Amino acid sequence: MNKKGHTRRVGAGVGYVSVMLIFAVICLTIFAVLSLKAALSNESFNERSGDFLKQYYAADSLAKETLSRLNDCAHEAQSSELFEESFEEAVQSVEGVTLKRTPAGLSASYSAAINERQILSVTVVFNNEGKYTIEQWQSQDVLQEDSGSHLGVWDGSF
Amino acid sequence: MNILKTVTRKFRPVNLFFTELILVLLFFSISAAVILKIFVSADRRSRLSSEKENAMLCAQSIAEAYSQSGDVGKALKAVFPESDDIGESGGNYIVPLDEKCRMSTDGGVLLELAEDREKTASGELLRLTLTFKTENEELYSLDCSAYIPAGGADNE
Repeated sequence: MNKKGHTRRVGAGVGYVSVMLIFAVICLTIFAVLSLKAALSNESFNERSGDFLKQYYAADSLAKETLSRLNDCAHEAQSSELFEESFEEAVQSVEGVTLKRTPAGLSASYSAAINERQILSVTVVFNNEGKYTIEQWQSQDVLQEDSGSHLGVWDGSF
Repeated sequence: MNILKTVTRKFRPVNLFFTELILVLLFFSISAAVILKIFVSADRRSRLSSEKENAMLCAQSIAEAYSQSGDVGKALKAVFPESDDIGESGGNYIVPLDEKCRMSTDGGVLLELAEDREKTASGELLRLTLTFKTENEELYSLDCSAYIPAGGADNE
């Protein structure tokens, strides 16, 4: 009576395996690409982090060299009677250092470039005995130094 | 009639199903090989990246300790408290490490430290080069320095 009932197949038909395979391959491909992408982005982040570390310690070394030269100047000036004047004169030979007289002694400020966006800002105070105290040794944004170029963000006050 | 019977027998759905299954398995094995290669590459990159990250953290810790003390031995002791005797020859140190940058003779990473001392009029300027190496390549390298004033400083 029912001819259709005779032709009906039982179990998995033709094409079902192909569909399952396509689904599995697509899933595996997506996971593989995602894991590769995550590994690559992690690698690139580490690369940048490592480069920054190198740049920071290069600037740190430069700042320490300047500190050593300043201390040499203080050592020289210590032998003369007028320490502050002799020190000021000697410091003129060291590039990029600005001196200020403060109640604690002579304050020398200088900076070393870490990269195009950041600098290592250093302030060292030399007392009359020729000994120094490091007041500041920290990295700063270049924009922070240049107060005119920051973004006009609302600071919460009316 | 006989020919027609054999033809219809040949193209039965069961045969078609097995033919498809074989083709699918072939395609899957090729795809799986390619995908597995991508997974292996991602894993290798991830491991290398992790090793590099550990090396960087270790280098930073040693550099900071060295900047403060100006003594390689003290800096190494601060980072590797378990280190009792580290091989030194002429200002050069070699420390065997594992992948997580812990002291281990079985690990595949070698840390080499080379120190250079320069005397100035008022103290000593010290430079240290840290190099992390595996068997095949250099993982990470960092140059740092320390300044030790001769007369002592009110260093804060």
